[in-house]
Amino acid sequence: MTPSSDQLELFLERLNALDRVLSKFKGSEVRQVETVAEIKAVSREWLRFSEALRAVDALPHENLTFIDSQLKDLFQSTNARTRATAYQKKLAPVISSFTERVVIPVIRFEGSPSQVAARQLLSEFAGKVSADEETYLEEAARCLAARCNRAAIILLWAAGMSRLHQAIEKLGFNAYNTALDQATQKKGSPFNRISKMPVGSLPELQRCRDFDLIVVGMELWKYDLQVFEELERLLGIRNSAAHPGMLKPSALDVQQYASKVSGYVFQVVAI
Amino acid sequence: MFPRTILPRFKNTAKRLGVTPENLESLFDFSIDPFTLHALNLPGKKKADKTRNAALLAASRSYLGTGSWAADWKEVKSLCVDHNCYDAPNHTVNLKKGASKLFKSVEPGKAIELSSGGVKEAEKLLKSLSEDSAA
Repeated sequence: MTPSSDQLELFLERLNALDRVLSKFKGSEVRQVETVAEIKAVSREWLRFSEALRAVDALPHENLTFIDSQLKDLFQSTNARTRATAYQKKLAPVISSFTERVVIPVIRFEGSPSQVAARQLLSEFAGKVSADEETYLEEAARCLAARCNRAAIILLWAAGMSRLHQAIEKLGFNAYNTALDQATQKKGSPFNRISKMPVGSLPELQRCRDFDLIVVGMELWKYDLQVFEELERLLGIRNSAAHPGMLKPSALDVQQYASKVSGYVFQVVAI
Repeated sequence: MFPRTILPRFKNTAKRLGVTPENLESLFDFSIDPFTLHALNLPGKKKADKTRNAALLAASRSYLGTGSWAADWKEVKSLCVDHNCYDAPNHTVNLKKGASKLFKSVEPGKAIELSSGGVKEAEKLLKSLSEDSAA
């Protein structure tokens, strides 16, 4: 998991604390087990942070490489009888440049508009979603942060459909089949466009068209034609995003899409 | 390119502030998606004043984009770094100084929602920055 700027600021405080402890040794060899353990722990923790930061391209890799090499040296020194001053010499360039090389670039990365948009997308669904749905939404947020806006729309719709599937499973397939019968008996659009496909298991439900589910949803969750029409528009946008064409959704379009999925699916269909 | 989705809110805000849409537009960079703030001089004598103004500005950008007067915590931090007013140990304290007048609540890591007083201050700030950009 990518470390936040807050975690990195705490890490810097930890390095400063370690430096203060080392200065108390007044240049003698560091034999105290706790101090050696702390040196090893900070080095290991940094390597974990460094790997995660490399994965997200939050800052120039040379900034990370510099800190990596200093802290690797520090770690290796624990295998020898090292004096406190030698440790401090290795620690000093890290402490003096950590804010500029690591903390500030990460603060800028976190505060960039695309990262802000991704967090706003997730906050739209806060407290409304299950763990399964959350995985789709987190992936959608990552797509938005990476400016893959079409992919974000597809995943937002997938989160919405996941909600409908879970809600149908909870109601039972018989309830769905009954609602399907009731919907097919109605005349006119959209009811005359449903494919009558009863379901008895999750795989069968997964094979149903999304369109059929949102029509039958009017019977199951008692939402009206206006909500259905809004859902149909959202499905249309999802389909456009998934097929070649000239659609170029902006980040704001994705955020609006998220807000509608939240309002018309997650607030209407409870599980 | 100016996003069509925010055009009505943008024009209404400019009208309410008594500035031209062009002047308001000049505060933001629409060549980037999502749009961001242009380089500007954040007013404030002390770091704490600038920090609170950064929060008002971030909330204004959020309002123009999504309709919500709430500043993203990390965006505020980033703006403070850019305007040289980020004071790591006192960042939250600096924001809390104006909490009752400007913000509904200030909790580290969470979005900072503006109170009605905060919205008024944010609009004043937008107006003065728009007028400065026109001068």
